[in-house]
This record gives sequence, structure tokens and C-alpha cells, in this order.
Amino acid sequence: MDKSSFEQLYLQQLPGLYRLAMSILHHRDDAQDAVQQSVLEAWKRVNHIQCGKEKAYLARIVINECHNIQRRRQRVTPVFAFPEQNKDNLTAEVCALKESLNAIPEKLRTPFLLVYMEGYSEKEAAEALGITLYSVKSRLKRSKQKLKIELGEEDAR
Amino acid sequence: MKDNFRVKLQAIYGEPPEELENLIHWQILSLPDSEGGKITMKKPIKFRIAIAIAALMGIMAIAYAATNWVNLNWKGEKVENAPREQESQDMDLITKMNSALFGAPDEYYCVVLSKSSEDVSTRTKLSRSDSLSALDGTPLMRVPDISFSGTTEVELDYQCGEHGEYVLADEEENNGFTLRKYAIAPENEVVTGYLVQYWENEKVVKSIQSRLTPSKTHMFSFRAEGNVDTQVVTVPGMDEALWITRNGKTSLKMIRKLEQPVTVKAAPESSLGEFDGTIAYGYELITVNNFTFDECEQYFQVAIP
Repeated sequence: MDKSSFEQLYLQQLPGLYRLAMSILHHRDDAQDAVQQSVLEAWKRVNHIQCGKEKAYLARIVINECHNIQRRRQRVTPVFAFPEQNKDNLTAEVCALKESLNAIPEKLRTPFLLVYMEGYSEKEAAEALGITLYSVKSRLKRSKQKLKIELGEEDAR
Repeated sequence: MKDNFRVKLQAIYGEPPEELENLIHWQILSLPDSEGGKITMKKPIKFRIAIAIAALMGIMAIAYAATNWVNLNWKGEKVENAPREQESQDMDLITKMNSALFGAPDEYYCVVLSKSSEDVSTRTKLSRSDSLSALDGTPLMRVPDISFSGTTEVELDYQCGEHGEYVLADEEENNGFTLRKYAIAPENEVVTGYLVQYWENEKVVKSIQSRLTPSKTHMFSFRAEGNVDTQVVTVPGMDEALWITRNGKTSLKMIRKLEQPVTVKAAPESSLGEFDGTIAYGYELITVNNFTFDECEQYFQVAIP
């Protein structure tokens, strides 16, 4: 893959990768760093990218970079703490959704967002996360249950 | 509807700033050519190996697709209703987990069911009587004493924060699953939430959930689509309250600021390593599901301003 194709691929995936990083790091600068740092890592292994699996591959690299950043900076954002209340001018409904998402563990939130926010298939999400398809299905089910509790739609045991 | 939901999710995390695109462009320009160009400079032996690996992967992919189509497992055995069998196994384990959870009344603990290092399910419970008595009589999260006729079971779970300091107390392997019981250190016995569920005919019909939250959240969830109706109401002792009817189901949400924030120590998450921090909860958010308005008037003194 040449640089031009690589750049085209990356820029095409950029919005999704950025949002994925934001959902993990909850910090704009950190999310930008994660995406930028993942470029080099992705280029190093560009020959290993299988055709049709580019999206999942790049997502996996970004997720790993996010975790690297978290470890390096020893910074944890508690899931409930979003210090800037509605600086993005989100509607009340979206704010509620945001709070609910942040209240569920990252392990459940990330596959949920990959599938429902970025349109990954369950298989792609499994590849991006390095887990089995069964685990993705299980986590999606649990995340939906937790979100329903958080949003007060129904009770779940 | 799916696209609408996706748009809302994307709105939460936003779009990348414009300068990021430029930065990536210049970053890629500065990358060494050798990585992307190596494939054209491979020695013939390495190229043949790459082709062989690709062919093998192709064969494996076809085999995998074939086994899935005819519902065989990797031993070649035909599997009937495999997902249901797995579900049944999971339910047995979850039942066992619940038994472990409620089996020792004088302990605080969290029970985690894992498979292959992934958590399948987690339940948390506090049941130590001295802490319950400490909870009672304080302004912090009084559990309402409400009963309904026809209710076959009432279940009360306390939450000791998602980030309590848990210590592994017991571990058991069963059918590839691991059941771990964690005890919580006494100094971290801080109740940060509860869930009351009312059961009828093995189904939850009503619930009351309270949880502490660090920031004041407008958790008045409603959606533009569907049959939704909302009504601002007042509840004594609460700062804000909203009555919501959605698709025939009702919710009452209310929030109040705590007189004193509750601080808990945050435990490390596995992917992050050691962390020493605290979370300060300053608000209590209560969600009451499937109570009628009359019941909310009766038990929570709900009123329309």
C-alpha cells in the first residue's frame, strides 16, 4: 500500500477513530494524540492489513494507543465525571445518553459504540477488540441492558 | 430510527478538529517509504511464503464458513441449538452466582463471573447489618418502605460504588467459567446506590433505583421518536423531578444535591494498572419505574406545580 492510499484510508476512518478515542479517553487532546500516534503504528504494520479488515485493524491500533496513553499519563477520568457540562451545546436528550454511556464500563461501552455509533458489524467489532464474536454479542447484550436501566426504560436483572 | 440513534451517539463524541486532518497528512508524508514499499522488494522466498499463508487463510475461511453454515463445531460434531445450550449454562452459572451473592449475609462483596478473563456478569451486594443501620437514619438514600399486593418477591441490592476496594475472597472454576467473590475492605463500605425490584410471576414489574453521581445530571431521558410525554413535577426533598410516559410505561426521575459529598476511593481498572484517586459524589439520582401517578403521589408526594 502506498502512502497516498494509506492516507486516503486513514482520513476516511478518521472521524470514527477520533470518536472511538474520545469515548475511551474523554479528553480531546488525548484523543488527538491517540489517533496521531496510531498513524505510525499502523504504517509499520500496513503490510499486515488484510483487505476488507482495514477498519477493524485501525480501530484496534487506536484502542491500544488509548490504553497506552492512559497508562503513561496515569490519568483516569471517573466514568461519571465530565467536568464540562454541556459545552458542546448538546440537547438534554443527548446529554442524558452521554451520561448513561459514561456510566457503563468501557469494556461494554466500546463494543456498543463500535457497532451502533460507527456501524461496525459484530465480527468487525470482535476483530477490533481482539475478542471472540460471542464476547461481543454478550457485551452488546449487557450494555443494552445497562443502558436501559440507566435511561429508566425497563428493569433488567 | 437506527440512523437517528447513530447521529445522537456521534454527537456525543463530536468530530475531529480540522487541524488533525492536516497533521495526519503531514505525518504520513514524513513517514519512511520503506514500510509500505517493502512488499515490492521482498525476496522471492518470502513472497512465496506470503502467498502460501494467504492460501491457507483462504482455506480456513472457507472451512469456517462451511462449519457455521451446517452448524458443526471444530471437532466436526453437529451442534443442535448451540446458542440455547450456552444460554442455559450461563443461566445456571448466574443462578449460582446469585446464590453466592445472597448466601453470606454478614459480608460485603462483589461477585464476578468471568470466562477467558472476560467478565460475563457482575453483581454487587452489601448486606452487613451494621452498615445498613448506619445507612438508615441518615439523609443519604433512604430506601422507601413500599409493598404492593400481588408482588411475589421484592429484591433489594445495594451498590458499594463501582470502584470500591475489593479483595479476592473466593474463586471457583466451573465449565470454563470462573466465579470470583470479592470482599470489600471495611474502610470502603460506602453505599453509593440501591436497586429495589418488585417481582410478579418471575418478572420485574416495578423498580426504584437510586445512585449517587458526581455531577448534577439532567437524566430526564426522553426521545423525540415514539410515544413520549413528560411533565415537570415536584417531590419534597428533591431539587428537580420529571414524570415521563413512554410507550405506555412510566418513570419518575428526581435528583437532589447531597448536603455533604460522599467520597470513595477509586479502585484500579485492569487495563490501567495502579491508580490512587477518589470520586466525590455530590448528588443522588432516583429513578422510579412503572409506578402509576397515583402511587407516586401516595409514596413520594409527587405534585404538579
